[in-house]
Amino acid sequence: MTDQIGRTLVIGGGISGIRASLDLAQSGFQVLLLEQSDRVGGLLSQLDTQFPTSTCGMCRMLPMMDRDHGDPQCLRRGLAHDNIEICVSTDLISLTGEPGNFTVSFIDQTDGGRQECPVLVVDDEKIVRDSMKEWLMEEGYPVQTAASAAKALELLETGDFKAMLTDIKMPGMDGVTLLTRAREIQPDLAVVMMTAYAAVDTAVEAMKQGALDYLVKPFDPDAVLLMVDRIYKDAVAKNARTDTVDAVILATGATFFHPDQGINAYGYGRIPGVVTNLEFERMLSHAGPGGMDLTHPVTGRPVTRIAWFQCVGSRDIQTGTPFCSSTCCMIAVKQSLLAKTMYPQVTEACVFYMDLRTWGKASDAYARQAETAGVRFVRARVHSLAPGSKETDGAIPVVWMDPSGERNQSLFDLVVLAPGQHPDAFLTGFVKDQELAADDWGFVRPEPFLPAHTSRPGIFACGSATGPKDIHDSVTGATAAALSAMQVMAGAGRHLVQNSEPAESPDQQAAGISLFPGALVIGGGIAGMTAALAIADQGFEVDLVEKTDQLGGNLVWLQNGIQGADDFLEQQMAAVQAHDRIRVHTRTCVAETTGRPGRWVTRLTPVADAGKITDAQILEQESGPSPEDRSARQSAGVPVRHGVVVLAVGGAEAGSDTDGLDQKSGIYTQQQFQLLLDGNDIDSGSPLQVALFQCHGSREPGREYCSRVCCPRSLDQALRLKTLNPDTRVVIFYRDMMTPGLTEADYTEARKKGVVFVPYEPGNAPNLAADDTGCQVTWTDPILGRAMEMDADYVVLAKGIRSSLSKDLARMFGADVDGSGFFDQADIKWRPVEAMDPRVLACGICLEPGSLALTLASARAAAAKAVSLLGRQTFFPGQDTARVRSAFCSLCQICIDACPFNARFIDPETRTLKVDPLACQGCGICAAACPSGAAVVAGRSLAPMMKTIHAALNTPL
Amino acid sequence: MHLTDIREKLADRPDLTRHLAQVKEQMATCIQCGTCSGSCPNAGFMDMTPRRMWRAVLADRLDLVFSSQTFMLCASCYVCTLRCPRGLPLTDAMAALKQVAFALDLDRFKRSTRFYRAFMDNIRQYGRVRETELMARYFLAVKDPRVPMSYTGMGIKLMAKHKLHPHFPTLGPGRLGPLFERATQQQEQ
Ligand code: SF4
Ligand code: SF4
Ligand code: SF4
Ligand code: SF4
Ligand code: SF4
Repeated sequence: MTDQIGRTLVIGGGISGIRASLDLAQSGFQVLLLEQSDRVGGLLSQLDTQFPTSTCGMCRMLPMMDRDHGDPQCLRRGLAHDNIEICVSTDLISLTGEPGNFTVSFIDQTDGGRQECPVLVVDDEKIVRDSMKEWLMEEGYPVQTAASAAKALELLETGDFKAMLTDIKMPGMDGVTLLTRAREIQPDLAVVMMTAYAAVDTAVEAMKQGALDYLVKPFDPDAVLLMVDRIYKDAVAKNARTDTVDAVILATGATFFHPDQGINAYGYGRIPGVVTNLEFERMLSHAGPGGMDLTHPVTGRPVTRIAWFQCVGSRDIQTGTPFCSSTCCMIAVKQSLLAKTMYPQVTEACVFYMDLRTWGKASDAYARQAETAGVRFVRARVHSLAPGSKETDGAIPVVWMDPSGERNQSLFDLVVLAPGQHPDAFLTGFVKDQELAADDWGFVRPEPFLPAHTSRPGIFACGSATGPKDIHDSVTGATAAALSAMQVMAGAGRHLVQNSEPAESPDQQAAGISLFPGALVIGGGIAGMTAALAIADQGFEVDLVEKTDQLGGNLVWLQNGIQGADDFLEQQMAAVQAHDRIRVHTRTCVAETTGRPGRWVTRLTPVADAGKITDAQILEQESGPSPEDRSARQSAGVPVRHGVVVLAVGGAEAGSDTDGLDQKSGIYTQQQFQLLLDGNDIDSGSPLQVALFQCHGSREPGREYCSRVCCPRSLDQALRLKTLNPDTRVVIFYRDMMTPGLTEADYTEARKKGVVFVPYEPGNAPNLAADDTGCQVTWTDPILGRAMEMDADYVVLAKGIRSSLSKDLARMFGADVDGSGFFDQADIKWRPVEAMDPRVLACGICLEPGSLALTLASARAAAAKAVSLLGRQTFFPGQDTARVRSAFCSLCQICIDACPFNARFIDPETRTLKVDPLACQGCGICAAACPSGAAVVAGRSLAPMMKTIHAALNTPL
Repeated sequence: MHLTDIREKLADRPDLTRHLAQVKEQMATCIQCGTCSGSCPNAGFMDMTPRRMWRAVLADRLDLVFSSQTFMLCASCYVCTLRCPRGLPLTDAMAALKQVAFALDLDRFKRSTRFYRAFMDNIRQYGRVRETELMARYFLAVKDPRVPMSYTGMGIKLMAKHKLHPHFPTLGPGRLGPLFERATQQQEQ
């Protein structure tokens, strides 16, 4: 029965919306996907390439198993899945209800869209008329304007309008009289009065005479749009389609700052050659306007010198944007690298930045790659631009000051601006209508410890609707949101779509295959516990393995520094211990695993060196659940049968480096210092001198990534020190402050409180000289150009995070670790929580360094993936899978190494080569690699393939 | 100028100390991006660019601040204020430093101080500037014969072009007095 099948409404068809929809669809739920524009794919359809792969890769989001239920085509061209109903060019009209029973109504713009809602703007001021017209036309409303009431009446006589926005004080007939007269002509006309603040009384009076509402001048575009949207929605409500859903995922993304707004110091739209990064992305694209050439958009001449300007409409109070847009730095790095490497003609690629925000595990190395390729990175903010002249041969002169106060000038053909992400009008309206908690800037504020939950039960949010996000965080967050929706649907007793057999099954291999219906979660930190609970709550058995004798991982020491974390940790631990589907194995590790992926049989074994565990810890453990309970749960030695595995082994502060600095008096690692702060062990009765030293041993050879957590933590520590004693001197030595998104606010706050920030470059780091009495820090201030010093009571080294995932453990399940020791995900952007084999999942900081919020998001995302796999009774492999012609196979095993999906293996019983049809993606690499012609792909036989290749290469057979 | 000297001078001027603390507070969120320095049309003539000035203010290096002519060279054009991404009141801060330097009557700024004073007196008296008299008063105030000498060349040029008018009709003395008093009162509050 259809009405019992779980159904979720996804609003927004960008990356996050597609990801969430696909996750739900793959799990067997139905999705109603609404998108305002005329296609899905959002912003990403315009981006050809992503870092760090410098390719697109969006199609990697498509299902790996049950491939034939989705349409395996390029996602930038469209999305198709049996379980997803896609409605593009659709406006949401209303949404009411509660979890398990939401009523949504929406309308197709082609039958009764905004075209059907003509607006009349009446004002004697031309500037008001023109700007209103521009704002409304941009949103798709037909607009006419009138400079006087008389003209307005004329227009009303002849034309049909749904809404009229009128000024009150006008020469001749005033707005209130116009209101009465207009309603005589068109009784159902919605009228909004526009008034200066002083005349609000008149406006209120007008409402008594039938005006719908009023706007107080000066108004911002959003207020006007919201008002007109309201009228539009009321006007078309009767034609709208109504439907019911169980849960709602808000994935509307963000809009970009228009650089021509405000003072427009960079002359966007005025100076030829000033473009946005999106426009430049199109220029780089071979399918874009320039084709294979990189040419100036106006002069058509080849472009050789390009500058990138960061933080345009981000981190700028003057544009009302105190936050960082998170992604633009990496876009600039990618574009500059591509421009420099794809086009030899580009002699100068120069990025002007304030902090280069290369947070995350692959970004920093990618930026170094750009530097090596010859991209110049200049720490400077250019104040404004003037157009090129005859002397400069049309090139734009760019002037900046370097730290020493030296004036520099270079000429550029193109200047690429990085406009920031801002909440869009739809989001603002939705937040208001649904009364969602939002932050000061209008982004949805997630509930504490529930990264995808809004303040309204049953409505979840992901992507940039919750603050500026990059692809990686959006995709992770979207899958986490899908889990939340699944939980609502399960709670409402909804069913899955019955998994149908493919219409034609080519041979017996297409028979259904099932996974063992349980999960093994390795690591009992907050990531492992969150994943275990989520999987178990959906009705699957979970074995949770933890090598120490205590659950909680890093959150145990972190909890005092994060508001509410102690209660949260306690709740989670209790819930895990009490869950009847979770078996907790503490002081246990994984010994070995046998069986095939998806049908793993894994043996656990007690951890040998119990010496590390202190008596106090054992005591604490003993005061926990009753002894019988524990022994029943700790069934070590018994093999676990599981269909998915979640690696959540966590990580730790990167240990002391060879310099042994952290052993000296007065020098602490960030974690050690945090413990001092949390334990109130810092005596700041008299003002202290504290130096916080960022990136100590990070972002340099040996640990080539940014740990993402230490900058925000240092800011937190600095603010706490300043709260303890405002006269304490805190100096933060940094390379780039990594405060993406809304954490930028803490950065500003720290400056406000008088924390001093000193940038350094690797190679001229501040000098530490420690002795018994303390540590002397000396440095040269780059702006003052003077030697400075401080006798520090505390020097705190931000050492960053390393992963605890061992190669052996990852490889046991056919996954691997990357160069930095973290879990090697299938694709850092598109498949962030899984290995090539989607049955091997990872979350928390063994996956990537990140905050608690990110850890929780990845844990919930991994759980969603696990649940979606375990929930299917049977899988039907794709039609194009590889076979083995055993008679030809010499067991050379070349194909096993060649297969990127770990699909080929030797069956120990029969000693023959076999293919795991679920893992096999039909890529055909094995067929190309096999020297004996024993590897073949169904439906792709040799002769036609060779013919195609020869035809493509135009060579004779 | 030494840090100790300036601290000594400030010791018995709590009002100025407060004024400086205010400037520091206003500038606290400066991110040293250098937009102000880049945009300032006078930066090329300054011994210290605006960014470095703010850094010195934030580092409490008043010795550096008051050894510099930077704030005296500020033309109050407001470009930096318009461009600063932190929206900081840079021109006001420059003016505040000017005021403190005036009030402290530091040797280094004697000439500027005398000039500004002569200028304002001139305005107060006539309601507009009478260049010839302004210069005469200024020269008297600096009490240094080398100063008038250095202006002779320019004076002759201006005369030749009829830009200097030795006799100018008076607009009536004393009209602006109350306005000046009011401004002084407000400043003191
Ligand atoms: S990511 Fe942040 S710091 Fe980088 S350009 Fe964007 S807003 Fe600026
Ligand atoms: S201190 Fe940590 S978060 Fe900050 S930049 Fe360095 S590695 Fe990244
Ligand atoms: S290499 Fe062969 S077995 Fe592996 S995924 Fe490709 S086609 Fe399938
Ligand atoms: S422009 Fe503003 S933020 Fe930038 S250096 Fe100048 S005062 Fe500081
Ligand atoms: S206001 Fe002063 S400091 Fe600012 S740009 Fe103008 S002259 Fe320079």
